[in-house]
Amino acid sequence: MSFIQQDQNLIDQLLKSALEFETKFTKQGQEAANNTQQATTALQTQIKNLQDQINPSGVAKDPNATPTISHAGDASTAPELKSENLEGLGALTSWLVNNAITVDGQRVAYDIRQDPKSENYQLYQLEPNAGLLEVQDRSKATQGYFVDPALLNKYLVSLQAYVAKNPNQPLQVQLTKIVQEANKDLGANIKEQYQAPEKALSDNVVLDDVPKDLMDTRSSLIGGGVPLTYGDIKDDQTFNKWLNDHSISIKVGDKQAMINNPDFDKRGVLNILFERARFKVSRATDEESKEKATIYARQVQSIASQNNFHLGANPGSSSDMQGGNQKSNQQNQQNQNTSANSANLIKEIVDTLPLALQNIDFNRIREFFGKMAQLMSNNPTVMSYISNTEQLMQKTSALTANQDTVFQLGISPESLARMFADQKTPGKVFYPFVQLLDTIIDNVRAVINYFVSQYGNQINDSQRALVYGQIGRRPDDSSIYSRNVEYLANWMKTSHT
Amino acid sequence: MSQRLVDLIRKTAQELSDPPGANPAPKSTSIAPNSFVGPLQGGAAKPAAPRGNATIKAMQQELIHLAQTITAQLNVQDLSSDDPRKQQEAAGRDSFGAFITKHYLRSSDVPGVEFDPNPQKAQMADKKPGMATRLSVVMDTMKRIGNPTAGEQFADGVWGPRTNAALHNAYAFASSMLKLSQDFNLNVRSYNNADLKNFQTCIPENEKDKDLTWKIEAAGLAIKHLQLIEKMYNEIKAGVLEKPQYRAYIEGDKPYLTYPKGGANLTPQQLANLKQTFSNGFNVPVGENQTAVIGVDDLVSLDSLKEWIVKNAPQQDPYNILTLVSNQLSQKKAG
Repeated sequence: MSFIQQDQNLIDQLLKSALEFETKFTKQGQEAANNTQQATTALQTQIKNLQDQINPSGVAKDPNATPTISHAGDASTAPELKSENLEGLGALTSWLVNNAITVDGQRVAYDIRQDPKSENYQLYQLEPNAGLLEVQDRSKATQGYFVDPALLNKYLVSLQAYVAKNPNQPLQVQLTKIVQEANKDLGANIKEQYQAPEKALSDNVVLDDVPKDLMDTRSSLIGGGVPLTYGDIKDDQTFNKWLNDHSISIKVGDKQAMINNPDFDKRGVLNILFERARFKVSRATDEESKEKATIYARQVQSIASQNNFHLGANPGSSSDMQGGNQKSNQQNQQNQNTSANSANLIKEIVDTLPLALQNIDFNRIREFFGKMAQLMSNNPTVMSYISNTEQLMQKTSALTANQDTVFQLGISPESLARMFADQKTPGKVFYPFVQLLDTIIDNVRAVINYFVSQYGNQINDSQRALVYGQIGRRPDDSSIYSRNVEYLANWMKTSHT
Repeated sequence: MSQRLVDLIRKTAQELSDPPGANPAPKSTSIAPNSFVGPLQGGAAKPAAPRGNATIKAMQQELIHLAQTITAQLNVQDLSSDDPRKQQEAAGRDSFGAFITKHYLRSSDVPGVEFDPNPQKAQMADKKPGMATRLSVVMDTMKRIGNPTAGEQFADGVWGPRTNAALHNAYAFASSMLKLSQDFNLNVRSYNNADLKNFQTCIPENEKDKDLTWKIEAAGLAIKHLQLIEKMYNEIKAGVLEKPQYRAYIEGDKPYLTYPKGGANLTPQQLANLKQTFSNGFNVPVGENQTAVIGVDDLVSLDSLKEWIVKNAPQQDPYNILTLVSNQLSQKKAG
């Protein structure tokens, strides 16, 4: 026989039950539980803030995560960014200081009287809010701030990303002016038009298993046992390290050369990797592997452009080169020829821009795509658009009695329906037909967009005007594309009979 | 805000509500946009120009009228209102005016200028021309074009340095409005860049370089431009400045965005609460079979954390220590 007071387990259970009862059913208990809850949350936030200060990028941060914007001010305040805070760069900086705004846990700016305790902060004299303060000598008033330029850039880009997601015209206008001011006065080099960052992967994601001894694009297209991760092709230096660490070699003449050999053909290696990536894109069986392969191709291209290599134009030929100066001269000559060819192609592409106000012309689209395929054959996304659109155009023509390739816009739905092969039930064909046309011009617009994105800085103002005339500078611009969409939308409104 | 400035605003407001008696600004008349005569040429200065020309006076009245229209929209006298919301809205309008001035007016090919807004500074020598910064002050400069002995704020028919500065400001303002409307995707119909170029032909860099005949002809052309600039401004007022969706942001009734609460500085109340709740601190492994206790006080800042690490666990990674504490917190929460 045992007494209750001797059974420690039972006593513990009774105490636990009593505490749970207190917490669940008494007002005092509930209040205490709430306080504990709030304290726990506050301390977790505090710990997160400290971790952000120690390691801004975070130990296991999602590589695609945007910077964390927070503030190191009073925990009970929620800073509001208003129009007056975007009067100018100085006004914004003043607001960043007053609200102790942080980017990834680091203060963006400090007042001149504060010590930033880091050499990353530079002293800038900026013009604050005009306010009502009259300057005695009426010269431009300035105020000193310690600013971390890299963090300010990140903050401004975070605002651009916000506007891209939440369109707001006054904010857009004010922000663009601040970005221009930051570029001019601080050399910030921020793009005025927001560009979403390219998707990244974690450094340890394996993109390929590559043969150690490479031959040429054909015989080294598959197989291999040396893992190549995203981190290995993050930039030129990590790629060189990978080549070195794994003693990757490529056939040059009748021998295998490694990176420490002057004859080593880096372009040849990149060409092989690029072809492998393209091969993976074309053989991908699910979206995830296709995306990974596309990122693989993009990174290889990026390293090639850092080395001034043009990939894909003459795959495999590099392995036949003889090395030394001769190789270098041949390379330069080839680059110059490629560059001249590209310039001609760009001009021809602008001359064959495909969208027209009066019709949708597949012949013109095909001509345009043909030139785009020559120029951007190394861009898997563009190539995929081109090939998909070709299929859609064939499908569309097949729905017409005469395999039509030109479709007049603005005609009546009845006139359109008279083109169909199926004259018994044209209503069944009508909507899928218009939807096909809609997707086709959407794809054309996307391809033009890729052209602008990659070659926009190589065309002159009048060429640029022609390109933007096709697709508009902004989504709500009146462009040939938007007029085409309007015509198609009118057809779509046709009541079903 | 200083009392002197409040008095100044009140005085300006009073002056605005009183029409300039002897010289009422003319009502704008409708003129077709492309009815201008060609650009002005030549016109070397000749000495001893007669004073008080009627055409120049009419141009000055248009300048004053334009400035008054813009000042009325800015309505900065509400900065001294007893209603905090009116004050805030006026501050918002004033700031947006400064935004326009800094980013558009200053970059005009004929730049705007600000004179000292102090009404006592009526002589040109006292005006201290400065970089255009506040739209209200630019407009004040545009209004004060008359003879200083008669109070400045009326048209006297003499095209001197004040009138010339006012024309520069009218041009810079028109240029900035055209750019602003473009940025807001607003299609204005009353005025365009070709008109602006034409307007430029009647604005000399220095009025002393032109004779009276030239000035009279230029004034006739400028009147038409000023009327159309006011029309354009009214379009922009309706399409941007007073468009309800935009106005709420411009006047500060709505923030562009709000960052959530949760700043890093704990309030004294929160700190006290944390100390009470976690009075036993947290156990952190610091060596083989060894632990050290880290308290709330050690977690209030990076400096206090570093101090604790130096004393208790110099080999430990601060990030990992925080992760350990965070994990214990999560367990307590779950428990």
